[in-house]
Amino acid sequence: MVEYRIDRRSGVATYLQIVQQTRQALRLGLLEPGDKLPTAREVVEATAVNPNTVLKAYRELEREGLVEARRGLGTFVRRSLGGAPADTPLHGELLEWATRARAAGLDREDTAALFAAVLEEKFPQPHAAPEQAVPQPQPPPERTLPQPQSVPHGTTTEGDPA
Amino acid sequence: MTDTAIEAADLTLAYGRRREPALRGCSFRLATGRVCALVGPNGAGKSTLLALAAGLLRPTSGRLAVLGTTPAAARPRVAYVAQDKPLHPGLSVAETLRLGAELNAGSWDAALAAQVAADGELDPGARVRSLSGGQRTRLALALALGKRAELLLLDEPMADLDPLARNRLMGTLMAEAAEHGTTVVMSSHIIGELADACDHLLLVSGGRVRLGGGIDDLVHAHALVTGTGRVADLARHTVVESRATGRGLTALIRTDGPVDPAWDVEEPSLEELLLAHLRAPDAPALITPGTTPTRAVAA
Amino acid sequence: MSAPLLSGTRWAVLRLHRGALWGAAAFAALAVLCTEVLRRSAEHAGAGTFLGFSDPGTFLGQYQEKTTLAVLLFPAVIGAFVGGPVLGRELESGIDKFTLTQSVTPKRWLTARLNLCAALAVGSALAALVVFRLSTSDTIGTMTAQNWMLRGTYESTGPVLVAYCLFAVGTGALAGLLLRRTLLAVVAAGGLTGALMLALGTLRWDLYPVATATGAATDAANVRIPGLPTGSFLVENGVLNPAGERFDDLHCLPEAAPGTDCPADTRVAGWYADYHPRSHFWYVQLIETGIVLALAAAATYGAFWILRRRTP
Repeated sequence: MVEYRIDRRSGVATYLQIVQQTRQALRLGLLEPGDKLPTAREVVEATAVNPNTVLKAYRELEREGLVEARRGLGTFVRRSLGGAPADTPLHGELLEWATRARAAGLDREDTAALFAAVLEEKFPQPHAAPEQAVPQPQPPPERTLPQPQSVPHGTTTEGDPA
Repeated sequence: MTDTAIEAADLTLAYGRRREPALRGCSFRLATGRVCALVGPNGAGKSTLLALAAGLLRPTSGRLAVLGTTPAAARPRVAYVAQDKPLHPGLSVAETLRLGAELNAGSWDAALAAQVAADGELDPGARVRSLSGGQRTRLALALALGKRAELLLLDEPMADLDPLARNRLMGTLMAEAAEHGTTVVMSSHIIGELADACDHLLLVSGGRVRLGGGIDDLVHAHALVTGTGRVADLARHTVVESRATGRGLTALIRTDGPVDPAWDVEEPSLEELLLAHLRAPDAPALITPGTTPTRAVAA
Repeated sequence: MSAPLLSGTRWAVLRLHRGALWGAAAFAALAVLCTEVLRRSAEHAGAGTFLGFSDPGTFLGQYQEKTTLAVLLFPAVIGAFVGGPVLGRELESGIDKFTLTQSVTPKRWLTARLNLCAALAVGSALAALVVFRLSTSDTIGTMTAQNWMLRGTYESTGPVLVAYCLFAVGTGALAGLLLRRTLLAVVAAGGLTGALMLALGTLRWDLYPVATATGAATDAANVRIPGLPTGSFLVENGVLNPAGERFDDLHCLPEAAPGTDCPADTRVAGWYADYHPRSHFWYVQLIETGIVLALAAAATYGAFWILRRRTP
């Protein structure tokens, strides 16, 4: 089960932090297809964020095809990401490279900068246009709970033979 | 069932004939299932608004509907925690919970109330008068949650709590909202403690609703622009506040159409948005669609 | 199925005022016990001084007089209790914001509390009545029988006591809700109840027409009122002139004192005596009870009216 950590000062939107942490868990093989994500209730109880934020994150993950909501059961992982589980040979090679970098006298920051430069070269990020400044106020998102677990308010049980 | 938790139309309340009204002409609508931050400076009318919705006060004029009915009729479906967390000082924690059970026999969830109290490590035998401010808050919230209300009205719920307790209680509240679709309205004069937990905002100051709507919608509707132009260049937008910065100016505007590319445009933070509106009391109110009252309000 | 006896608002009210109820019960038990012990020991004591009194009879007379006067305080205490600790304190401390937002409606909650207070008040008033009417044959009983018209004895031996207690509950509720301050409500409710008892105490013998006895007399010196019925309460007496007009022989004879209203003819031809025979006790009690109960109902209605006006 993944546990989300919300960093309030990171400047990254809360729902995006949940999305990123889920992707990270998929990438590292901490979550595999068939695994169940925590329910919105569990996430908000631990993080004290708004339920809609969690649902928004889950919808985003669903849109990306990473997870699927099964009615009444929960949200499940559909596929893994990146094919870079922790025990891939690439991991070993990267480890070896890092060892060599250290032996060459690079410190942590130098190594990270070097890695980031290579990353930028090989995976150029299509710079996301800054959030457009003139959106129309959208209708607020509906809160659809993935799994109504309890009897809703106002439901009577008068006719119950028990 | 209704999809409207609170709907106010021209709501006004004056505590005395000669005194300035605490609320004047408030109109807004809050859909069910929202977690709403009721924000504003001290004395803005936040407590008055909550007390009206809780059925403790009668409006001087205007109309107010709660869960599709009158505040009085909605009383069994609404839980309210007042700012000073009033509880009977002579009762023990266990007796206070029993009192909640006896006075809310129809809907009481004893297990949940006991759980919330136990999470705060409240000794069931301790007298209420011996509890710390934070413990008292927790007990008051245990009573409110035990009532299994559809609408929770919490007046400054986190004021007496340390950061850890605040986080845990907020987590409990959010779990409740997630599982049962409970609508929550929380007041505070500090937005920071509510920003993550709330998806809806009502900014009240001087007895009026200044901003009302989904937090994302409200933030998106504004822009923080910096440039060397003049205020007059922004005339097509609503300028909430502007300040000179060096040779140019920085302004918080309510955008109407695209902004001239000569300006450097940023999205304001929620805090910037609120402070700008509080500093500029004459800026027109913004109540986003879906937040304005749409239909006749029950008497 | 009916709810268990101790649940809901009933449990809540009893629990909230548990201390006061135990205190009141202990005080009542102590008072009855004390009275009984003193009465028995005085009855069985021989002649001679008793507890510093010249004889047991004097002691019992004093005891009866003072305790019945103390009973006059009882309704005022009830009023102060309802106005202050039960309602005023809750409004003053803001706990009403908790109480009035539970599922139980404010009206039901006030009703539950007033019901309990009324039951308590009526119960203790009836207990006091029983104690004072207990064994009319002994010394206290004799004193009571002779002094039925006296302030204190009158109130503590008839249904007016119950009515005053109910009035106190209603007034306490009104004062507590209106003033929203513990101390103010205590003073107002206690004071109003006391004032009503004082006022009706001076008016009550005018509520029912007196019986009048008359007789012939030859002159003022010769006026002698023959025995009125046993235990009668003489309200006023004087003499009559031949025309049958009443006047006061002390002020009008031998000549009219300045500032008094005397008839022209002051020859004494007869006498008169206005009095309440013992049987009037019940008429006056019932009339006064009716008046006080009506006022109690008005005060209670006022309390509910304020509650309804204040909370939607």
